[in-house]
Amino acid sequence: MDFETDFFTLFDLPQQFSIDEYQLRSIYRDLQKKYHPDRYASTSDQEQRMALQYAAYINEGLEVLRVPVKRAIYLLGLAGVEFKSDNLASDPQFLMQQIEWREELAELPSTAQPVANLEKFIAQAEVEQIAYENRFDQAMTAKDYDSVLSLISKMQFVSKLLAEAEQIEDQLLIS
Amino acid sequence: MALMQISEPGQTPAPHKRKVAVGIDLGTTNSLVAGVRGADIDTFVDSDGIHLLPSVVHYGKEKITVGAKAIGQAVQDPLNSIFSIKRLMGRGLSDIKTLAQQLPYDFAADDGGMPKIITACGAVSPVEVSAEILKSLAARGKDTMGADLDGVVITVPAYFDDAQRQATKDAAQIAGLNVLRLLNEPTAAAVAYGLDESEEGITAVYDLGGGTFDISILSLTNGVFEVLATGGDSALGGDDFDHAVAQWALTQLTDFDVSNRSLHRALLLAAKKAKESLTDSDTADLTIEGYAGESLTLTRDQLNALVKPLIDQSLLACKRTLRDAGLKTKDVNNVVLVGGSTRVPLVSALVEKLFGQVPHSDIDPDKVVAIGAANQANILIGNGKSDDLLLLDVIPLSLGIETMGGLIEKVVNRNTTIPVSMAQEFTTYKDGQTALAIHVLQGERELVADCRSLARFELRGIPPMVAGHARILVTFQVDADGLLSVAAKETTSGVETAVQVKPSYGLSDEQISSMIKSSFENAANDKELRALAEQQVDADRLHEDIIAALALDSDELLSDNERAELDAAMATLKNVRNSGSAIEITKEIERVAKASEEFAQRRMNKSINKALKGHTIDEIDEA
Repeated sequence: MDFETDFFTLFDLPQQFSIDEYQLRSIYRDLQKKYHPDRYASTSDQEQRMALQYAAYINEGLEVLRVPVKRAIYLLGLAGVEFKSDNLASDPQFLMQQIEWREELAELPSTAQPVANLEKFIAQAEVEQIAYENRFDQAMTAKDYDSVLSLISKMQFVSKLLAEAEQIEDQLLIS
Repeated sequence: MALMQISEPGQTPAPHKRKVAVGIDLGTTNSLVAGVRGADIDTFVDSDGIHLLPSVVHYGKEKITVGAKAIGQAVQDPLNSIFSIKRLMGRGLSDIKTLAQQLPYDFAADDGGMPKIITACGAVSPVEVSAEILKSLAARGKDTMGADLDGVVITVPAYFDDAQRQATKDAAQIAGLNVLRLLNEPTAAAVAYGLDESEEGITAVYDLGGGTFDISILSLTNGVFEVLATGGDSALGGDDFDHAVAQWALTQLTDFDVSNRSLHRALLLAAKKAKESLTDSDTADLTIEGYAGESLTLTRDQLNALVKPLIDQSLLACKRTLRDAGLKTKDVNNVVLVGGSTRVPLVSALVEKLFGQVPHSDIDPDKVVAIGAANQANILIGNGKSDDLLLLDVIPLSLGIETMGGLIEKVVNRNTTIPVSMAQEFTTYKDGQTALAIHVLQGERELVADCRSLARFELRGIPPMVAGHARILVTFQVDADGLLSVAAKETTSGVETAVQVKPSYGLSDEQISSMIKSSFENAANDKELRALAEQQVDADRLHEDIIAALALDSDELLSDNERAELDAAMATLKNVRNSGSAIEITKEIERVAKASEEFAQRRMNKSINKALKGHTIDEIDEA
């Protein structure tokens, strides 16, 4: 195995945003069966160290390809474009949308049916996220990198929003 | 490894000699050792035919005893009889204050802040006490296998943090054992159940031991066991049930001298015994050795009422862990009960209710972890087949480093599959900064003060650069034992430093258990504090930048009036930074930024002019 191999090649997947998660998981297991340190526990120290590095690389690959935002940034990197964090300064409309979402989320716990409303909120955010992902996929194919950068920032925002919504869901679970 | 291959002269091992390895379950209350012999895999017995070795060590003046014999001395000699040492592993003295009050020992601190227990044999650390238990188990393993041990697999709670894992590995080293792997207890149990490999699907392992609780959700597919998520409470176990019963007894007994340590120990032993009898009977007598007062009877209903709040805590952790795994209770194909404390009938009843199915306990819940560990030990030492089950485990708590303002930037999230290597880029905060202090933490909360500090180190020799220009890549590597090492490198210059994370103490029981819990409970509060800290950092940075610029260019570029205005705005910013809310600080930052806009523009023009001038001079020089 070669650490220069990109993760798509490593997992035998086409270099594109939409991936076959079943194949990802299945090849992941096959790779770990071959390279995991447990398979080398009675070999030389050097082989054990190599196995550790291989397994860590494969795990990193799984994480990058499995999580859509990470996959998007990685794909862009392969195209030679570096993603930097702030690409939304010129998109006042999205900034407004962000504020609205945050306000809605902040008010949710004190509404009449917080759990149901929260679930609805999460479902809506997930729909938005998929829409951004689809638009990212198209922009990426068209090599429209300005749109790509702004779409990744939006995906990052919605991921964060979803994580916060889940934390609030946990709080509701406790009480 | 190399050391293991050295042989005495004339005793060169046969070239294809089968190597010998055993699995050790180092428990809070009881420990076991198991191994593979031929087609058989089982726990080993002592000379009296007993499988369980009580995790108790007695330090007498003449000799150290381990196990049942040590318990025999406990009531007469409570100060020198050490129980439940696992609860102190990887902890600092300051971490265990509350716990120490429950324990009838005298504590002292060593230089590193690690707690030591004062005994007739001198002060001993938890690592040394654990090493005595390991030595006793290893001796049993050697006797039963009829050969020296080439290696061992030792199990730890899945929820153990880095400090606790490291302490366990240290204990093995003190006992002279070659550790092939630290294996998570619920994962070991899943292996024992999965040995026939017939049942693919999702398994939930509910593991309630003497001092720790773990819940792991695993998926078995095509010969690979993947832990999808793990959670737990490292301060929850059968010991807590005993303490609850003892507390209840104290409210019923008159004339009971709690300060008498012999009586205290006798009460705890009586509580434990009563709890155990209530598994099969409806009532149990509480007989306290050496206490002449009234006798007490405990019913199963009374016990249930005492322990229900504790069990409920564990069920909450189950729900969260399922959520982390992205699953619902109906997705779980099998539920497995592990640990002696799952014998309390209410535990299995409530677990059954939560998952909507009868949990498995076909393999003795005391032995199942050791059996799984023995199977792994046999594979790892090289006696396995190429198609053996492969285990893919995760880290239980997130790892990160401290950033400005007492915040944590997570580098590896909890439930990431190990081994793993993850890097994150950081930068310098001040102009000309040549060193960066790196503080490594573990936990789920957003503020440094709420997480466990694992290690601190410094990256030195960074070439002086403008703030924000250095690119410092911090790499976290977690190995298959769940142990962390951290390296930092400044990528533009190549300056490197690395540290093996080796803390001298770890989390307190209360601290670690409350970490994830409070991470959820305090999420809202955290967010406010985080926003405030961020704004404070921004305010400081702006303040510092302007002061530096004023020192250079104020006289030339600003009138006295302009300068006074800017100074006033800065003074307000400083006040608000110290006493205001995040929103107030944000507003003030904007105001100062605006007030200094003109000044910044003039500075920029000045530097452009200077550059142009410089250009001209160069050309003149060249000519």
